[in-house]
Amino acid sequence: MQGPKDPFVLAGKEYHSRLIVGTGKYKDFAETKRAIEASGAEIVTVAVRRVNITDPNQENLLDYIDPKQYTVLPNTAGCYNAADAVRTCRLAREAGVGNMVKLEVIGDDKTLFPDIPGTLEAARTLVDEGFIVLPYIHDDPISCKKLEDMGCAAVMPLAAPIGSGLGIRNPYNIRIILEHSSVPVIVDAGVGTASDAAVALEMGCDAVLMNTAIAAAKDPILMADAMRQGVEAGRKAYLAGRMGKKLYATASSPLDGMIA
Amino acid sequence: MLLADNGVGKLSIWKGRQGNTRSLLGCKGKPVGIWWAAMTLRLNGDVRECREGLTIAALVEELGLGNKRIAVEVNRDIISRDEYANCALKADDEVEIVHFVGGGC
Repeated sequence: MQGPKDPFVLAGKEYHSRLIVGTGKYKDFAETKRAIEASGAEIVTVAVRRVNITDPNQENLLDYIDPKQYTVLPNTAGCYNAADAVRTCRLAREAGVGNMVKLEVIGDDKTLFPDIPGTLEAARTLVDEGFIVLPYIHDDPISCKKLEDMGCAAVMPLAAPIGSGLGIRNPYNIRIILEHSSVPVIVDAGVGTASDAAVALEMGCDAVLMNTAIAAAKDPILMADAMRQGVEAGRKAYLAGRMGKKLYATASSPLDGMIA
Repeated sequence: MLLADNGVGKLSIWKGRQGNTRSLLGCKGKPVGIWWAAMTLRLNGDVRECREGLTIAALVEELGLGNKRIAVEVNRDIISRDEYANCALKADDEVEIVHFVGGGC
């Protein structure tokens, strides 16, 4: 368990957990709630969609995820241009969960890779309008730097395509992003299992954001717990500072006192 | 002008000239036998009929969304919650009502 000694500070607020989780793809809201509890996450992402007018009294996600208990982070998933993303963020703010948003401007529906010009354009508008902007972006140090410079509160490079579960495909780029960033670096998307999350934190990433890796596990609740432990282990290993890698063996038992 | 036969079900029922019954937004809880002028608007992408002069406040209340975390747009302009009561809808308005659903990336 991370103590308050090592808080994750995002936009001036301290969090204990370095795991941010999505709320999509679960069997039902009850499972969503249990998975989030098992993950230990304090920030949860949500999407903004039309109310079902023919049955407006359907259960609502926020009946299960109390915004007083969790920081609710609306996303702009499904937006393919800056204007739609900005519109979605304005609606989300009006709906009353604060002004922090997960900005996604998607380039195409096969890769779900970010559209960099669209992301930069939307980020600039949103920062000007007082939003706390957390942009999903390629594992590209240049884009990350531009987003930081325009006032984004964090950068969120992808590990691999959304929902792919491939883990960090380009650790060298993530390392460069980490070296150049003075805002939190949150690996967003592509994590598949607990070791992937641990690797992100071991490298020095400040947090990791995931949804499918938990929701699509055979046992999402158990995987949520595994992810919590993976993130904690990775963070501790980062803080502890790993040993250097060597090509040849180095004995860890003393040579003195050998009988032969 | 259409006769609103109110208080039946979630949405009120009104009878058209040919005797067909359809739901008319904005007449819930009103006494039977009042004449309403109807208009159409686009609500979350669907063409819907409602009574003339329906306010956002009345619409949201009728849909049972009064105490929910929602946001409302009329013709692409966001309507803040304290404007709901004074915002009367007009024919052909495009109304969007959104809320939060499960989502990750």
